[in-house]
Amino acid sequence: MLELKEVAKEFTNNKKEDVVGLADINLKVEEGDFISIVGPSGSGKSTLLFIIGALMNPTEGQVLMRDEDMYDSTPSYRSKLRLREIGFVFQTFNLIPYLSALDNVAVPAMLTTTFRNEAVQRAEDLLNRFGLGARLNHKFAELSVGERQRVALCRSVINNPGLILADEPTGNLDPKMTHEVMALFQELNSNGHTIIVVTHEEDVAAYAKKVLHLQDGKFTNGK
Amino acid sequence: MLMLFLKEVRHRWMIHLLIGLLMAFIISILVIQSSINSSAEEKIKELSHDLGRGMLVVPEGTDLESFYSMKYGPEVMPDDYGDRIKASPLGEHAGKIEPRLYGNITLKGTDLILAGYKSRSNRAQYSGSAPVSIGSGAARSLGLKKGDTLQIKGEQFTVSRVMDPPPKGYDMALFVPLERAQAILDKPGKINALNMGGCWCKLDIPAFAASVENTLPGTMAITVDGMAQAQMQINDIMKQYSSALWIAGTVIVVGSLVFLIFYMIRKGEREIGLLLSIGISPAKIIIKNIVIAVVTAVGAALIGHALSVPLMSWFGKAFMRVSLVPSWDYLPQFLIAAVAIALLSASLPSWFVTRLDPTRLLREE
Repeated sequence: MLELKEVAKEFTNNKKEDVVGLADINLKVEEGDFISIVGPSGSGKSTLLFIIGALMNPTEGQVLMRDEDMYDSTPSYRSKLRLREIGFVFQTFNLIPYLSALDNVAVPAMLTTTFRNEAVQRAEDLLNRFGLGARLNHKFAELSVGERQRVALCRSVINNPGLILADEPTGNLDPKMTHEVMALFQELNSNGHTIIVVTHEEDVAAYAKKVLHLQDGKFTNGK
Repeated sequence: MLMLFLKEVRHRWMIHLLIGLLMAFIISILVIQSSINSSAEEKIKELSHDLGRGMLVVPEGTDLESFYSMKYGPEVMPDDYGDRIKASPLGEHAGKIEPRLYGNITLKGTDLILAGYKSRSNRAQYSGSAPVSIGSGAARSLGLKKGDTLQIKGEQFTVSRVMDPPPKGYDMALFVPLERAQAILDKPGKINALNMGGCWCKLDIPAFAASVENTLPGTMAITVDGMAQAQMQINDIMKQYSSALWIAGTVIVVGSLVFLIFYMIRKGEREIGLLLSIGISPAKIIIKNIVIAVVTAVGAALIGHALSVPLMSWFGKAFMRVSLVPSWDYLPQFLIAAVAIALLSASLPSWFVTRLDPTRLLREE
């Protein structure tokens, strides 16, 4: 489904020096995989996830999705990938502040369907399923951290993408909520979604079928 | 996208409103400026029409703007000037010579124009009540009808005629014999206007006017030709100012729109990054920003035109003592310009920002 070949990413810091974010990353992801990428802060986990998610150009290498290099095509093509095939759960949720929970979830669906009502109905069903039926019309500021995370999760799956990426999805949650969210990922994976989760917590990583360790921009175990 | 568009506009309604109002105000000033040029031309055409081929002789120092606005000053000239012209070699060219004494009076709280004229029948002396022809507006205000009597500063008058319709501009005027007007206005033996008419097709008008001024010392002879030249000079000056005003106005309007777009982009960089990250295409984001800018610009152009109606009315009364009506002829141009400016100022920065990595925008705080 997804393959990274010799992927590298360099950044320029404030002193105009090149800093290596990722180096020589090779990764093959099959449909139905549930992978955790574990590493300390600054190891390059989020950078790797952004590159997989068609959000950040690598400095070198190829990111193949269904045998097509996503960075060898137009920004519009990558937008389509993000809209239809890749769901992304951000660490900081990144919900649109002036939209309700329902609208936040419905927006990606509205862009893929002709009928607004259909998109809203799908979003409502999803939010109900994730226990947010009473929070449909609440805005970002009116939701708890756990609720925000679930809204972000609902938004990432509204278009039923094959690949779901989550950047520290439990970083802001208590243990009980952490378990609930990771159980949701397991459920989504059992329904056929491919999941990649980035975390610095080993116990969170343990929910995945496969765990990869990243240190200083390089994998230190299997790929 | 429509839902996103509407909710974003609602979320930032204050900044859109402020920018829109600023642009509307500038546009209304441009409309006023453009319309004043048209109105000035209309006004001079009107005056030229009123003067026809005639000539108006007034005392030197008369403020013509005030004179044509029927606000009469203290300047006067002897009331035998008409006879002097008649007796001079110029007399053969003057078929009509009408001495007038105009003044402003207030009667029963009503502001009126008093117009003294020399009777053709030469019934100069009225022992008792003198006839007065009265404009319909003045008659209504004073509650007078034909046959009624009135007294002005001790002078007795009988309404001989209510002029309905009145001569243009004389709705609130009282026409009385010259010597009565002189008595009321305390200007015995004086007039402040001499209307002259004749067939001057073959005359050198400016030279004729100069001869009139020489014959009647202390006067100004106003002709259509002279007024047209003066108007051309005024128009030239107005054009110079109008160019500067247009440039300044356009810069402010463009600046406001660019500010709005940059503000939206700067303020909403994270949101743009977010919209990109969830799969909204760069083209749709650019279109959304363009639509917001175009709606603001078109709204501002329309509000600006609407705003120019009361502003122009106030401006005309306060500074020009004439009623000015804004011209709507410029609305299509303003709308086209507003849309073009909005397109440019919205598309370029939006295009630039949507080229960036979404993650770079998401990290912006």
